[in-house]
Amino acid sequence: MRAVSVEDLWWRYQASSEWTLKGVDFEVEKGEFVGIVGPSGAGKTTLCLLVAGVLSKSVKGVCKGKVELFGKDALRTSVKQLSEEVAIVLQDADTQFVTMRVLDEVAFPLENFGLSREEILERVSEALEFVGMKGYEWKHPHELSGGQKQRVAIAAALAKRPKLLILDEATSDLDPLGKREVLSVIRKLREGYDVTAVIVDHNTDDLVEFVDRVIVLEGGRVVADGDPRAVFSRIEQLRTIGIRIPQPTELAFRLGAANGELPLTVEEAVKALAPVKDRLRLLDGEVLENPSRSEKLVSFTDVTYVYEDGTVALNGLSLNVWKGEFLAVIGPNGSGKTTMAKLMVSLLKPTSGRVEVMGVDSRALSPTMLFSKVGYVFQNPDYQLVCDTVYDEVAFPLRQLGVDEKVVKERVQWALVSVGLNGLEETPPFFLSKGERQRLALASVLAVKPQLLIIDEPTTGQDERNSRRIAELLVQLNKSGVTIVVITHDLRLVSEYAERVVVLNNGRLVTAGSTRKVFTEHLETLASIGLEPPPVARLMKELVGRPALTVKEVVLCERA
Amino acid sequence: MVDARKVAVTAVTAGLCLPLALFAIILVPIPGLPAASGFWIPAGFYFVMTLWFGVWGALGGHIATFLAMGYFQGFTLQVWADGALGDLIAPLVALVAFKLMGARPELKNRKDRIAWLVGVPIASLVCGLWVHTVNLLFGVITWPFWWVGVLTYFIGDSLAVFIVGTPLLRSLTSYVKQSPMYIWRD
Amino acid sequence: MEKGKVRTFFTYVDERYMLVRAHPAVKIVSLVVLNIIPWIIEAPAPLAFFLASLLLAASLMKAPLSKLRNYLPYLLLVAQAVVLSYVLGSRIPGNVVFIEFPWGCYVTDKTLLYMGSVVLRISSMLVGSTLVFLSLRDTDVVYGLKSLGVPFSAAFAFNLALRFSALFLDDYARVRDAMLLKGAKLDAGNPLERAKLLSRTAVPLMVIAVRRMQDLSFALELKGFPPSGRRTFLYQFQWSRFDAAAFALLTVATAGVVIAKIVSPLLSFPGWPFV
Repeated sequence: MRAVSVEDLWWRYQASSEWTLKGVDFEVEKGEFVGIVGPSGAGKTTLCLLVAGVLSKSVKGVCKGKVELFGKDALRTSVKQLSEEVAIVLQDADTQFVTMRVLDEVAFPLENFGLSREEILERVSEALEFVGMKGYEWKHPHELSGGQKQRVAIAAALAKRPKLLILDEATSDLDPLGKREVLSVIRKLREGYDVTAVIVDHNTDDLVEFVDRVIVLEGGRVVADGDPRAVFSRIEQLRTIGIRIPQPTELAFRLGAANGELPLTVEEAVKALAPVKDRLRLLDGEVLENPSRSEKLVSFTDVTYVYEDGTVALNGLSLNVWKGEFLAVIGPNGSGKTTMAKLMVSLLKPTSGRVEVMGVDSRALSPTMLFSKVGYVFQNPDYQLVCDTVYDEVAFPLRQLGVDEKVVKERVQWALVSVGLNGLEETPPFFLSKGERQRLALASVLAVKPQLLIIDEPTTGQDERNSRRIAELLVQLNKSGVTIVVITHDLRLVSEYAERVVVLNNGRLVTAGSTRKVFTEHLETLASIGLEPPPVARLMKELVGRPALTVKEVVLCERA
Repeated sequence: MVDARKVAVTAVTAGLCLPLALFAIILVPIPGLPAASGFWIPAGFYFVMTLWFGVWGALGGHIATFLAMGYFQGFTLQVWADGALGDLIAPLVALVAFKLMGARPELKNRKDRIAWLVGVPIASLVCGLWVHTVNLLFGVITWPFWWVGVLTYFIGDSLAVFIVGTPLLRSLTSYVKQSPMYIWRD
Repeated sequence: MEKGKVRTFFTYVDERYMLVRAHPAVKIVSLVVLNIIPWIIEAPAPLAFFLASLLLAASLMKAPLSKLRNYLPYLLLVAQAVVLSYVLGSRIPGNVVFIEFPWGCYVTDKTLLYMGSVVLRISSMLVGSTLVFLSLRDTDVVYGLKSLGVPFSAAFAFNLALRFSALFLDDYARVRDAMLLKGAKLDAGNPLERAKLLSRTAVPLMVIAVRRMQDLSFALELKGFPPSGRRTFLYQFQWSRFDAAAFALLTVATAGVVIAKIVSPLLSFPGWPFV
C-alpha cells in the first residue's frame, strides 16, 4: 500500500508572488524510509507540513494538486484525524515541548486521543525505553539537553504509533553528542516500530545510513529521486544545487577508484578502496599554522568563570588568540566555548584569572567599548536583527559610533557586497531566508571593520551552499587581516578552513594546536568527548593509518 | 471554540510578557508604590499582540501581569482584580477603538495613526481608572491618591505602549499579516 | 532534589505539607476563599483573628511559613503606601484627632484602625494565596480548573505560558547582549534615548515570538490538541477525608462570614470604604 502519494503539488504563500512548491510528484511505499535533501528555501519544510496535512489548513496560501496519506486526502482531511496517523518532529526542540515534564509530554497526544490510562502508560513506557529516556519521566525540560529533548519529541511521536513519521531537520540544531543520540534512535526505528519515515536533513553523511531512497528538492521541484547511491553519484549536479555529498562518496568519485557502485559510508569506502590502499597518498597539507605569529589579540591567563548558579563554565583556562589566525574552538555542549567567547567581548568578567583584549584587562572594558574592534555573530541571527531594513541594520553600529552618513553609506555598501546581499537594502530583515539573515548579521558586524571576528556556529542549520559561502567569506576576511575565531561543532568546517584548533571540555583546555596536529594525534581524545572527526579522516586512518583533513588531500598514485 | 492557534497566541504572549513585566517592576519602580512600574514594558507587547491577534493576545497579557505582579505581591484577589484585569481591559479598549474607526494596525494612513494616538491613551486611562478604583475598593488608597494613581498609570502605560508598540506595528505588521492568526482581513 | 521535598510550581516544599497532597479543586477553591473572606471582613479585630487562624492552620498543616519572609518587603511597602494615603488623604471621624492638615484631611484614632485593617486585609490575602501557591504542582492548575468547569484548553494555556516564559527570558538576555555588542549604550544617555534603544529589542523578540507561535500551533495540532471528543487525563485525584473536611470548612467559613456581614455589624467598619 502507498503510504504517501504526492501528485503535481503546488503551493504559494499568500504574501509571496513566487510558488514555493512547483509540481512536486513522488510516492512513498509503506515501510520505506525516504530522505529529502535540498538547499535552504527549496521547500522541504513546506512539503513536510503539507504532507502532514497541517499547512494548508493553518496558513494562508494557494494550493493545487493532491496529497494522499494511506488513502486519505491530506489536504482536506482534518488535522485531528490525520494526527492519529502522522507524527512530525520539528527542528526546534524547545517550542514543541508543550508540557512541564517528560512523562506528560509523551502522554499528551495519547490523552488527547482519549486512550485509556493503562494504554497510555504502557505506550509511554515503551516509547521512553526505545529512545533511551527511561528514568527521565519526572524531569523538566530545562533539565534536559537538546539531544534529550529531541529524543523525548521522538518518543512522543512514536507513542502515537504513527503510520508516518516525519523528521524535519530534527538534528540540525544539536551538538555532536545530541545528534548521535537522536541518530541512534532513528537507526533502530525499523526494528521497533512498523513505521514509514520521511527524514529531512542537510547532513548527508548521516542520512545515507538509514534511508532507502533520497529525494532532492531544488527551487520547489523534485530534481532527483531514487536510490541513495544513484542520487549521490550525480555529484556535479548536486554540488551545483548546493547539497553536501557524503565524503566517502566524494572521495571515491574523485579517485575514480570504486569499481561500479560508489560507496556511501566509511565502512563501504574502506571495502571499496581496499584494493588500492597501497596507492593512496596524502598530500602534505599546506602548512596552515603560521609559526611566526607573535602578536596576541586576546590572552586568557588561568581564567575561571563560575555562573551565579554555581556552574563552573571555565576552570583555569590559559590560551592566546594570535593576530591574523583562523582559530576554531570546539568541544561538546557545556564545555565553555560560549563563555570563553563572552569573556573575549567583555560581556562577562572572569571570576578569577585575567583576560586581556588587545593588551587591556577585560575588567576595564565593556562590550560597547570593544564592539568596533571585536565583532561577534550569534548562532541565531534573529537575536541580532533589530532594524526595519537591511540598510539600517548594517548602518546601526556605525551610527552608534557617530560615523558620518557618507561614510556609513560606503561601509554599508561594502559590507553588503562582501556578503552578497547588495540589492536588498530596503528589504525588512525578517523577510530574508535564514542563510541571508546570517549573512546580514555578519555584514552588520563587518561594517565597523573589526580586527577580531568571533562567530558562533556559523554553519549549524545551514545548507551546504550557505555553509561554504560563509566559510569562504571568513577565509577572505582572514586573508585581509581579520583574526577569526569560530565556535563550531562542524568538524568538516574546521578541517577545511581552520589553521588552529582549541579543544575544550568541562571548562578546561584539552588540547590546542594546528588542525592537522590535533586531528592526527588526538583522534581518540576527540572521540572520547563526543567529537567525531569528518568521515574522510576516519576513512584514511583506517586505510593508511593517518587521517586526512579534506578529500582534496588524498591522491591515488600510479603505483603502490 | 478554543483551537490550537488561539492557545498558542495566549501562551506565547504570556510567556513573552512575563519576564518583561518582572524587569519592568525591578528596573523602573515607583518610589512608595509597591511592585508598580513607571514604564510598563510588556504593555507595548500585549497591546500589539491584541491588535494583531485579538482577545487571545489580551488574555496573554492578563496572565503575564497576574504572574509578574503576584511574584512580588502574592497571587491575591486584589492583584488579579486590579492590575491583571486592568491589563486585560486596556488592550481590548484599544482594539475596539481600531474596530470602531475602521483602522488597521499597520499605521500606514492617517486613520490608522489617529486610532493609535487616540486609542492608546484612552485605553491607558481606562486601565488606570479601573486599577485605582479597585484599589480604592480594597482600601489600599484613599480618594485624594486615586487620581495620582490614575495619572501615573495613564502616563506609564501610554509611554510604554507608544515607545515599544509603535516600532513593532510599523516594522512587523506586514510580516505578521501572513499568519493565519492575524485578525484583520484586507 | 533534597529527600523529603516535593517539587511544586515555584519551589520545593516539605512533603509533609498537607495541602500539597490535597485535591487540585480544593487548592483552587482555597485560593478563592482565602481571598474573599478578608475582602468581606472590614473590622480589624476579626481580620486579625482570621490572619492568626490562618497562620495557626498553616503551621498545623506543616506549611513552609519561612517562605512568607520573601513577601515582607512588599508588605512593608504596602504598609508605607497605606500610611501615606490615609495620613495625608483621609477624613475618618474618630474620638481623638491627632493631626489636622490645611487641606482638610486629618488623622484620628479611627484612621489608625482603618490603616491597620487594610494592612491586615492585604496580609491575610497574601498569606492565604502564598500558602496555596506553594502547594500547587504543575498539574494542579490544569486539573483544578478543569474540575471546576473551566475548559481544558484555557487551563492548559496557563501552563504553556509558564513553560514559554523561561524560553523568552533566555531570548531577552541574548537580544540584550546582541544590542550591547552592536554598540547600543543601554545604560547611558537620557531616559528617552535609552527607552528608544531598549524598544529596538522588541523587534527581534517579537519576530521570535511570532515564529514560535506558528511552530507551537503546528505542534499542538499534530498532538491532537484541542481534543474534540473525550479526553483522558492521566493523573487521577481521589477525594480524601482531608479534602472533604477542607472543602466543608471553607464552605462553612465563607457562608458564615457572608451571613455575619449581612446580619450583624461585627465584621463591618462604619463609613467604609469612601473615607
